[in-house]
This record gives sequence, structure tokens and C-alpha cells, in this order.
Amino acid sequence: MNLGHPLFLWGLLAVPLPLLLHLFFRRRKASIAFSTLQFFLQQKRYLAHRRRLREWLLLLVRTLALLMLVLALARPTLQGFTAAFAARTTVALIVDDTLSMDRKLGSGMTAFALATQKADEILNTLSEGDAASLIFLSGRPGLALTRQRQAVRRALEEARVTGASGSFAAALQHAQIDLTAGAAPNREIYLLSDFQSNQTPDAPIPVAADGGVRLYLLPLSGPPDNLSVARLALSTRPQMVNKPITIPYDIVNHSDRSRETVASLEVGKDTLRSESLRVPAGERVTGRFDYVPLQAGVLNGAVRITDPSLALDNTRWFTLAVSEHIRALLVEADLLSRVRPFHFLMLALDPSDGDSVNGIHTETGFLSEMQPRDLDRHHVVLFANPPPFSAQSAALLTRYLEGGGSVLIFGGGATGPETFAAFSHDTLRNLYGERESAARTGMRFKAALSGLNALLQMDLVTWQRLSTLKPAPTATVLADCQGIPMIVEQKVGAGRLIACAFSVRRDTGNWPELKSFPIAMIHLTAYAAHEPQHNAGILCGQTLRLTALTPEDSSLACLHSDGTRLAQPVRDGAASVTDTWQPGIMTAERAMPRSTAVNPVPAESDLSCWSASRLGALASVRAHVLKTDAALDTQIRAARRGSDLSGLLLAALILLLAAEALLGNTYLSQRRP
Amino acid sequence: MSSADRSRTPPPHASRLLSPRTLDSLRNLELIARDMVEGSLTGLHRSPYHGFSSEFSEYRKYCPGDAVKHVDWVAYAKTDRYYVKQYEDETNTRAYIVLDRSGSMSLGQAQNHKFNYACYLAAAFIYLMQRQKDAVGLFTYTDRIESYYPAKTSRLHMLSLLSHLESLAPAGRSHAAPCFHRIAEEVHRRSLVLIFSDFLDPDPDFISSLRHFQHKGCEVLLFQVLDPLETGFPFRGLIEFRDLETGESMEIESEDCRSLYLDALGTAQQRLRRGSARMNMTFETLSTGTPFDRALLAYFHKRERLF
Repeated sequence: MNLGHPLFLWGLLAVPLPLLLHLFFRRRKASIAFSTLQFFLQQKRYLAHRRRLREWLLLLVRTLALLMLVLALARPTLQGFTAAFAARTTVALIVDDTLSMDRKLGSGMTAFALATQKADEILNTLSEGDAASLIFLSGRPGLALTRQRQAVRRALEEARVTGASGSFAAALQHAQIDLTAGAAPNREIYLLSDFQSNQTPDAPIPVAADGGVRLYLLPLSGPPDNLSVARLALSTRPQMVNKPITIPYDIVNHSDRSRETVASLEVGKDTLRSESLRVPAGERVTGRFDYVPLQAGVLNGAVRITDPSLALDNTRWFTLAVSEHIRALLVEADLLSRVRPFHFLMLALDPSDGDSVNGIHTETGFLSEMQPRDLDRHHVVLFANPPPFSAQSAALLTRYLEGGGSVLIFGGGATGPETFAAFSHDTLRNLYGERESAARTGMRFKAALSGLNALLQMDLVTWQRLSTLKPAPTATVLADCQGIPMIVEQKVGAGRLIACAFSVRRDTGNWPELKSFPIAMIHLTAYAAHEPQHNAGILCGQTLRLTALTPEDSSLACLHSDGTRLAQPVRDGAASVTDTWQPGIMTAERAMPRSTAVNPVPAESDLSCWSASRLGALASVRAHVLKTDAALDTQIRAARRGSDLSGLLLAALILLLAAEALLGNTYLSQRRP
Repeated sequence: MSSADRSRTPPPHASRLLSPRTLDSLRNLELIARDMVEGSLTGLHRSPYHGFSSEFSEYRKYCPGDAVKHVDWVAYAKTDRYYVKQYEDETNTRAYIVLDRSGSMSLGQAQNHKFNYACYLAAAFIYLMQRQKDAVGLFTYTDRIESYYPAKTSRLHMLSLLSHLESLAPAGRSHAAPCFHRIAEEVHRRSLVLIFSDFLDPDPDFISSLRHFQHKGCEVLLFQVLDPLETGFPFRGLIEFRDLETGESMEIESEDCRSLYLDALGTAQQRLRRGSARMNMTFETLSTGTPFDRALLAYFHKRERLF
């Protein structure tokens, strides 16, 4: 027997109440002297017996009535037989729509298609008045509890496999909430899934046992063979027109046998490259495509393989921004100064002043006039001999750096310990020390710039005065002079700041006059540059956050590469797109980022599943494992058959109350003579 | 003071039992005894027991109300006037008041319980008898004869009877049968016996004991005095009834028992009525709820209609 509301059983404590009241209010009888009892004597036994019997009957009736009321409120359902009043049923259908459900089963249909078919069979076992809800394991919006089974069927028909992963715990919690909203004594949760190993919870998922919730599991597993494109490690460096772009990729074989496939590079709608690969069992193979973009703009593409198992993980999408040149912003601090701090640097980077002969286009600006979008448009922001930054400037630069921006600072007479005093990062505040006299020569490049040592003759460089650099332990020294840091790279948030001990004028040494200076500056600037439009993309199911280019816009439109168009409301200049269930490229209109690659969750490509024996450990309540090869309704009805006894108990209560009124009428209305 | 005046004026020691109003109501009442042998009454309480030893006394003028059969037609033929004969013994009736003073007679309101009611009636009859120069005696009984006063005609005797009645209080169990037998042995033949009781004797055979009076040629009048509590049984709820005679108590669900009790009481009364009718005894039920003088008047008027 199950109890719908077992808490009401506490009411059983009140069942002895009639007895206590009976004893407490036991009727006081009047005593009257009478002439003779002879006329009573012959009836004595009968009357006394009747009186006692009536009192006990009344007590029994009242106690039983209270008992019936308590039990009726507890909503007991008796399993194993069907009485006149069949119990109502509330069902929560959890359908696994994660990537792995796109696997092919032995019958040829996908696991997801079989899941929707079985879900429909479950709906057919419901009767008029029963309710059902639909929950997708990926977290995609399903259908709230409804008695409209047709609506549930429609939602199932329209559902598709997503590229997202899922959480059994979240889904079961959602299901319990739905069941609580229904008032039926039969409460059932159906979980139709392939029960992937990577979704294994560490501990049994808690499911409230009160209320008699029954948990049914329907495993839909198939062969675990699968190949997937796992990763595209794209560079965050700016990609230039007519410069080769490297697109490395990983292919993972999740099978237990070696597989061959063909990997292709698609840009736009064109397949540009293909190569055959052999991937050993359980191994990961790395490949690369090189591609030279011929024009600037946003490059959307994908690396695709051929594999019959799952279709969605055979493609890995990417989006790249291709620029004509590196955009460098030279920021001056003093509006009124006649000194041109970037004189030599501009001659080195952009000698033709706008023609970008070195692939670098420079623009100048003043710090006091800088806006965030001014910084965001450039690959790198350069400062020469900056005075101490104000709090406002520090906030501006901090935001830019933490958002992935790159800043290149050259020292000078005005640069010192106070330069970064307004910054919140300790690594920046202590970066620069006092300027000191330094009679040194040469400089040796290190780390990523070490290749310049072979190109440049740096022993001709003489230094007179240098700013002291005090790099943090997390910083990278890109160049030093006799062990003294000359160029230091410090990561700040997603971006980086590169600080130089020397200036780009001749006050620190003779380097600006040497031929190595422009070459070094070009390489340094190119190294410092980042791609402001770099977008690593998101995974299916994650929220895409867009920034409106025009804050006055009330909504943003987003176009998916499969043709779906979405409109999202804008709040405070931003919008959040949650409909990212299908892989592809999402292109935003009048928003940044312009293009975003949405890719499947890599873990979903591993199709290994739980063993059947482990399924029972999924939740804290006992789970019934259903068989897909047998009729579901037979399996379900055998467990569901039961009777809601509360109606019978209430009918018994009414009869008992009527009996109590009949028996107790004289007792209730007695008056003393 | 003339004898008529003395008969109108209450004696100086008249008890509380005879209020002036009661005395007034009884002044014109006369007890007419039914002739058990001849079945007829002669005028104003003429004795039916004159027999051969009675001597003619005188003629008396016919008064309206005298029985026609007592008219001397010979005298009418001679005188053309109506006369009735009077005999010497016609006023020598002995009457005995038999009063039940068992505990059951104490049922009722404090001043108006059955025993008091019966005493009022008894006192009324005593007075009536004495007024008519009839000898009246008194027996009181419970389960034995409690007191006995022989029949006498004097006023002093009447006063002693009334005084005795006043001193009585009901108590004890009732067992009428042996008492009736004993009383029947004591009373004179052809006496008038008035029994005042509730006749709730637990021994139903007491009725047959009344036959002893019949054997002695007595006219017996049975006055059953009941309280409205007995005749109506207006109780409700669970009541513990306590027997006034035995002290025994019993819890009774009143509503359940009412109809049963009234049926049983009615059956007992029916038995009494039939039994007394078979023995040519008069049986009357009086309720203490009825003013006793009215009850007495109703009884006498009823007797007059009969005879």
C-alpha cells in the first residue's frame, strides 16, 4: 500500500480522543426516588444491556469515524487490484536529448527516435484525467504538467537531439517538482536515456520517497563506436589577409577498433581541403589545415569528418576574424606637449603613415579622449613614456586588458613607480621602478621573441638610462640585458601587458637610430597584438551573451547557420541567447561578437554506457528497469494497478457519521429532568 | 348551638387536613352506600342491612332525590301524599378507612405527596361519616397493620382519627395481602371499607386477598392514589431510580423505558380494575395533580348517577 500524504498519519494520535472525551464527559445521571421499580425490573436487563451496548457502539463509531478521516486524508492506494475508484496518475517524462542519443541502434533508428516512440507508448497508458510533463535532459525547455496528452505528443514530435550534455540530478529534481504539483496518488518518473558513463553521478541522486513516487528507467543503448572532431586550437593572434592561417584539429576514436575517416576543411559553403586519416582505437589524432585568406572579414568554417555514428559531432565549427593589417593605437598622454613620443616608433611601424607597408596600421589618440570602443577596435594599444595613470584611465585600461586586450608600454622619464599606482592589480602597481643610469650594451630576446636574436645585431645597442622593471613571478621576460629585464609580459585577465624598460626615443639609448629597431618593433608589436574579435565559441547549451553595438536597440536578431532566426530582448545594452542547442555558427546583427561557433559538448561523443546492473544505483529510491523489447503498457500497468481508497474511506466516514447521529441523538439532546 | 350548627362548624381541634373550604364542599355530600344484596340505595344513605330485626320508625316526607322505589304506595293511596319509610337501623353503618402508609406513598411534592393526598381523602370521608352519625374506624398498614382504630361515631373519635392521620409519615415496605386478610377479620360484617393506596404492591396476589372482604359482605371502595410522575413518567435521559420502599436503585434510560413502564402500569391497573369488578368492588384512580376535593366530588357525583 502506498500513502499519498503520509504526514496525515500523525492524525492517528487524535483517534483515542473520543474515548478520552467519553470518559471525561461521562454523563452524570440524576437520581430520583420513585414509588416502585417493579415495572422496571422485568426490563432491567434488557435496558441496561441496551444502554451499555449503545454507549460502546457510539464510542466505536466515533473512533472509527476519526480513523476513516485520517486514513482518507492520507490517500492510501492499494496495489494489486483495481476497485471501482481507480487511482489517478501523474507522469514526468524525462527524455534524454543529449548528443549521444543520436547514436544508431541495432534496428537502424536512433536512440532518440526510439525514446520518443517509447514516450508515446507511456502516454498511451494514461487515462482521462491523468497528467504528464515533458522534461529534456539537456535542460532545453520541455512542457509543464498538463492533462493535454496531445500537447505532449506534439512536443515530442518537434524535439530534436541537441549537441548539449545533461544532468540526471537536475532532471529528476525538475520531475519531482512537477509531480508535487499534481495531486494524483500514482506518481511516476520515466527516464528514457542511454545512460552514458560520463553522466554517472558520484552518489545516488536523492529522490523523495514519501508520496510513493515510482521511478522507471528505460535504457536505450547501442554500439559505442564513434569518431568525433574534438577540438580546434585556433590562435588568438590576429589573422591577416594573405597570411596563412593554421587550423589544427583533433580527431578522437571512441571505438574499440581502428577507424579510417576523411577530414575536410570547409570555409563558408566550400570544402577547401580533405585528407584521409587513420585513427587507432581509443586514440586521438591531431591534424592541421592551412588556409590563406584572401580577404578581410569574418571567416566561418568547420572541420568535418565522415562517420556514420553520430552526425552532430562530426563537425567542429569555427569563426575567425581576418584583418588587412594590425591596428595599433598609439596613445599619447599630454595633449599640449610638443614632444612626439612615438616619432621613431611610427617611422618603424608605419613609415608611410597609413599605407601599412609593414602590415601595421597606426592611429594616434589621446588618453583623455579614449573610449572603450576605441581600444576594442585595435589589436594593440601602445603607450610611450606615460605619466601616472589616473583612476579613470586605470579603469579603462583594466577593463580592456581583462577583456583580452593587449597593451605595450615603453618606458621614459615620466615612467616610474607611480605609473600604475591607480591600478588594482598588484603585479602592475609594482611593475615599474625608478629610472636609473645604466651603462650597458646589447639585449637578448627570449621566449617567443627569441627568434629575433638570429636576425638582429643587438650588440650595437648602448643604453644610458633605463626604467627598472620588477616583474612578478607570473610574468614572462621577453628580453633582458645582462640579466636585467628589458621587456616583460604580464598576463592581466584574458589579456596581457608588455612593459619595456627603454623608451622609443633616444633618451635611453641609441637603439631608435639603429636598423634593428624597426624590425624589433614590428615583431614586438605583432607579438603583442591580439585579435579583439577572437571568439573561442561556446558549447551547445551554454548562453551566448551579445553586446549591442547600438545601445538604443530593444532587441537583437541572431541567425543560426541552419536558417533559424532568433530575436532576443536587449537589457542594459546586452542580450542573452539561450537557444544554443544545435551546433553551428550564430551570427548576430548589430551586436558583438559578430559570429560565434556553437559546438557539441566533447564528452557526449564517448558513447560508453552504464551496465544494466548499475542502473539501480542511479537514485535513492528503487528504480524499475523497463525492457524496450516488451510492451511497455503491460510492464507499467502491472505496477500501476491500484485503488485509491480515500473515496471508500470517505463513504465509510459518512455512513459512520450518520450512525453516530442516530445513536447519539438522544445523548446529545438529553436534558436533565 | 343546634346540632345542625354543630355539624356546620368545624370542631375546635379540627386538623389541617380539613380546611374550611373542604368542609364546605363536603357539607352537602352524602355517602350513599350501595346495597350489596339488593343492589339499591334508599334515599340518604339508608342502611341496606336492616334485615328482620329492624323496626319501623316513622314516615318521612318524600324529598326530591329519594329513590322512587322507597316510596310507600300504601301511604300514598291513603293520603295522596308521598312518604318514605324510615327504620331504626338505617344510619348504623360502619365504615373503615384502610390507609396504605408504605414508603411508596411518599412519592410526590413535599406537601402534596400521595400519602398526604390519601390522608386528605380519608379525612374527608371520616368527617362525612361522623357527620352522618356513622361509625368510622381506621386501619393503617404497610407490610403489617400499623395502627387500628375501631369504628365509633363520636366526634372525639373523629378528632382522634384526624390527629392520628396527621401524625403519620409514610415509610416501610408494603405487603397488602396479609394486612387485608387481617383487616377483613377485624371489620364487622357488611361494613363499608374504603382502601386508600397506590396498589403498587409487588405481590400481585393482593387482589385476591380483597375477596376476604367480599366474603364478609363488605362494600369495598378502592381508591388508587397516584402521582403525575407515575402516570405520566415525564423523565428524560439516564436516571437512577431509587425505590422508596426497598432503597434499591436502578439506572434507566428514561426515554427507552417510558412506554414499557406505562404499559406495565396500565396492565396492573387493568388487572386491578377487572379483579375489583369481579368482586363488585369499586375501583377509582385519583391523581395527586387533581385537587382532592374536586376528585372527591367527581366520585360522589358519579356514584349518584349510578344509583
